[in-house]
Amino acid sequence: MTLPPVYNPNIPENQSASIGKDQMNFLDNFAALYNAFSVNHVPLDATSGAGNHTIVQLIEQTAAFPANTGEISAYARAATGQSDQVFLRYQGDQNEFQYTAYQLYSLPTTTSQTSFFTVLPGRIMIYFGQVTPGPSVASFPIKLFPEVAINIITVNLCPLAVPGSAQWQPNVTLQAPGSNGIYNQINLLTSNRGILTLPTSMYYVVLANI
Amino acid sequence: LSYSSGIPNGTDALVVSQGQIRANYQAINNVFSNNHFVLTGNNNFLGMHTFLRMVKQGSDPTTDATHIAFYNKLVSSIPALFFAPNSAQPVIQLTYPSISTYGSPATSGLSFSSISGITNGSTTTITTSAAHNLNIGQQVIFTGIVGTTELNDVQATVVTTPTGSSFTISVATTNPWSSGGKVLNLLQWSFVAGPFVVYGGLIKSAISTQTITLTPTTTLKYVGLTTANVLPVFLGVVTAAATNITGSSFTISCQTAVSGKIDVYYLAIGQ
Repeated sequence: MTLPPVYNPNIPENQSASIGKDQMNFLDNFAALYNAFSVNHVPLDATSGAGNHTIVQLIEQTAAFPANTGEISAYARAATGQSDQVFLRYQGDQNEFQYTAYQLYSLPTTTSQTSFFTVLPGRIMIYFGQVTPGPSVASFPIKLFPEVAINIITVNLCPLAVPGSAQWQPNVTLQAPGSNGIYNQINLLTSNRGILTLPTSMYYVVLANI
Repeated sequence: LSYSSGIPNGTDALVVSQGQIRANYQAINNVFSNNHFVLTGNNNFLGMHTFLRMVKQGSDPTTDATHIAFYNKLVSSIPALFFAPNSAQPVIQLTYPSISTYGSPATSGLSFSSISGITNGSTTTITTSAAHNLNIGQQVIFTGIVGTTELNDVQATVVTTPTGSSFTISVATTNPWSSGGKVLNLLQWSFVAGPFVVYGGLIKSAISTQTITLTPTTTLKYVGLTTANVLPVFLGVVTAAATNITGSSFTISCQTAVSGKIDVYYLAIGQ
């Protein structure tokens, strides 16, 4: 198998060489340039678009990259508890932060809760969906799945109103993490509601650090 | 070594152009090595990027039907990452100038104020070297204090704010402050494309009519409050709502009977 040419920035080696003698060196360098540009970039011999990117593959880095005044740096690093993610660093070498936080999870399906999640820059998970507490339970757990929350930032509930009825108002307990340090649910309190009408369901949004 | 586009001349002997050609090859190598895996490498990474260091652009790029573009453009003199959809549709700002989260490494992204003094007592008073921008009921955490070390890594609630650069917490301390330390503000914010700023946090012992001012300053488009830590007798009947939403401030409104006796989670979105 023929190995691809390796770029050599130190040719022609000397002044006495002829073009003919160095021809293969020139060809190898042009081929190496062509091959390199063809990865992630529109090929050099393309009839249009040369110089543009096709995709951007980022090789995992082990340290933050500099960002001078007027610049933004984007790069890939291994994120704690996750795979490689995109990190950003703002001008003046400010603190880097994690821009993406994506992992594949299969969401559990229950009749009483729909679950969705997405992420915000800075390792924040947004859990959201709809819960339908039963009619006579004292508390109802809003499950946080995937179970990766290390701190609850906020909880937001919006009951679906029952027209013409005095509405029970949702509230929650302040949570403590499990023994593994993970917050895996929010306790929605439904007790002591007296004669108030319990909403059949409510939307929820939970922001958590991951 | 800088790149020269005009070499070699057709009449040059190699004795003349050898150095120029070599300089060009070296310049190409140096330039390509910036942002890319080195040309002289010979593996599967060749042509890929080590990072993207985007220099500011003076204007939005023009995209055709099959192109999109990411680029850096200044907004109020601050670089921001933009996305230009295909066919020259309106561009979208992807980043916001600041972010403050509890992400990894823990607490490093949170905004903070430097501590310039601590007054010991059953209630401890903390003085900061600059405006602390804290609200009553807000959560803070301490780090790096020399002297009053019992506060390090302690999470506490702001009880009062006598001045813009001092506040009190209901945590007893006895060791005199010596030097240093930071108070980290557990108000967190991130952003989504737009850009919109997403704030979240907890106000302990929330007081009705209490005004909460969020930082950074935006115009709030959404504020949602949820009560927590409600006494059993009030379960189901307590509400907390945001009123007087002006700029990045809002006022907590709840029943008088529970004022100061409940905690309130807030979720806000501003632009």
